[in-house]
Amino acid sequence: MSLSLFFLNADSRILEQIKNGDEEALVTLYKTNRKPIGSFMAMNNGSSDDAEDMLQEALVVLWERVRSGKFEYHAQLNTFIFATVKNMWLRQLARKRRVSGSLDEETMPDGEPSVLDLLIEDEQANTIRTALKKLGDPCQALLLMFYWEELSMEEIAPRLGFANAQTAKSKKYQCKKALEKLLRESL
Amino acid sequence: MNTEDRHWTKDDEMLERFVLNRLNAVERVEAEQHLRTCEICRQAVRTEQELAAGIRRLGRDQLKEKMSLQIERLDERKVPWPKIVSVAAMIGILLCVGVYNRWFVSKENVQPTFMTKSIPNKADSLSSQDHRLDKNEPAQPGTRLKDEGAVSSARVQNEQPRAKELQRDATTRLESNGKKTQTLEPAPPSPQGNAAVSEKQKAMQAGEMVNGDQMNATQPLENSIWIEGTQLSSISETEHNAITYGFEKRKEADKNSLNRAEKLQGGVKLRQREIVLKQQPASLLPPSRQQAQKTSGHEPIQTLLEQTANGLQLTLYLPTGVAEESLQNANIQQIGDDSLVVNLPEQQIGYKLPPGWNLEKQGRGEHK
Repeated sequence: MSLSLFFLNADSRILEQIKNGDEEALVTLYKTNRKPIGSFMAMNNGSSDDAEDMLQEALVVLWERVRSGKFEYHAQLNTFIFATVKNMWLRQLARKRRVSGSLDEETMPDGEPSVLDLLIEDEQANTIRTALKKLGDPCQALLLMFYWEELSMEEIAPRLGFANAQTAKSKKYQCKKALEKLLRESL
Repeated sequence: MNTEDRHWTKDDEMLERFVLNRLNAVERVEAEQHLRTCEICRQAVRTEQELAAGIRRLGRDQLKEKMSLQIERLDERKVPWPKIVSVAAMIGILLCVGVYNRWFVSKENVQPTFMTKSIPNKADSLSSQDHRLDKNEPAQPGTRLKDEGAVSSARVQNEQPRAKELQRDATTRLESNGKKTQTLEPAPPSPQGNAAVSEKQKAMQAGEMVNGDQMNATQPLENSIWIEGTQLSSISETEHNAITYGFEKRKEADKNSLNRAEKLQGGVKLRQREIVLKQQPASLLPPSRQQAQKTSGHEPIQTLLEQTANGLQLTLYLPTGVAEESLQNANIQQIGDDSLVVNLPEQQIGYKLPPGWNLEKQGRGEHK
């Protein structure tokens, strides 16, 4: 078995695991990429904590893309992860440099969100997160599958035990209204 | 869909598809055109985007938490082989060092090595002894001459248990930090032997110097004394030559007197004295001797000289123990009446005996 075929087989197994929602695949990738990412981060002013964060972010990106069907296999998964980490970290470093030079600016020169925007975004995300937790598990799972994993109602219905897509759609509507109500109350 | 007539964002499904980027190209263009002119729709899209972003954020966080938990479990399961191997190696090295240095052998189990050496008196007349002395051959343990008779032979047989008993007594005495109340049990002494001991005691009480080290007047021992041995291998060549010269002169004098005795008496029976060699680790030295060892600059070999029923016993407190074979192969040479040289394979230790411990007097007194 040639080396490339070996990697292809290993990657295809991992992709299959991700498609099935098996988080063990991410742990496998984490183990494989921990050292190279750590070295890269150390060489680029990053700490070991930064390396952990970036690797996890990259794995989440991979997870989202594979789960939503947007992932296209052009290179090894390890290469994809390394490239993702590299892009994210260099962007973060550039943002840090700009922030240190222009703390008072509300808008950034290249149209990226300012520090204030990011803080507001964080706050909103936390509010929604809190409200979602109050909704309970079925609604949370349904909304997560629809908005985060971007699954269709036909895919969601059997996973959550609904009779059909229409039932799942009705449930989603109820959950969303309940969430909006909670958000309005929290404001 | 007529985007001019109504707000398309009122359609929840349409709004969700727009935010999740599921509209086809035509639908998307129409929706974006409407958004340019409709503030209400823009607000609805923004709210939907925030909702989707918040839910995505929750999903990501939950995934990261699950991942972290699994990684933690993985780290816990991971066997730290490098640490285990290094610790095992250290333990192994310690064990080897301990076995080599006999750390794990209890003091009770250490069988002291005894070595009996026969030193001929200078008036004794067998040339075989001279032959041995000349060739510097090691004496055989327990060697005795035939003409000493059955009594002497019986003594040889009982020699080791007796020596062990003396060793126990000596250990007890050392452990009691040199207390005066415990002394070695001497062999049933002859009157001459008692006289010799009394002479020695008198000398000790008079505070005579022993090899440059004053005897401890507060702890006079009846039949033992500490002496200091000098490693002859470490002395200068001149000193060594002087000792060798003295030794050769002594031997010549012995030979002459031997010949005279042979002529006068037709040969005399050889009388022998025994010197038992033992070793102990220097760490077992009593505190007073340890102090003496520290204050002394030339690191002498602290040695306990004891009078036993059969002769003398030398207990060498060596910094590093010597093999039992070395003790067995040791050769003891008498130089004059008051000096001894212990020849071990690795080292040569010289002793100047204190006054009152003259080998000749003691030996003769014992055997007469």
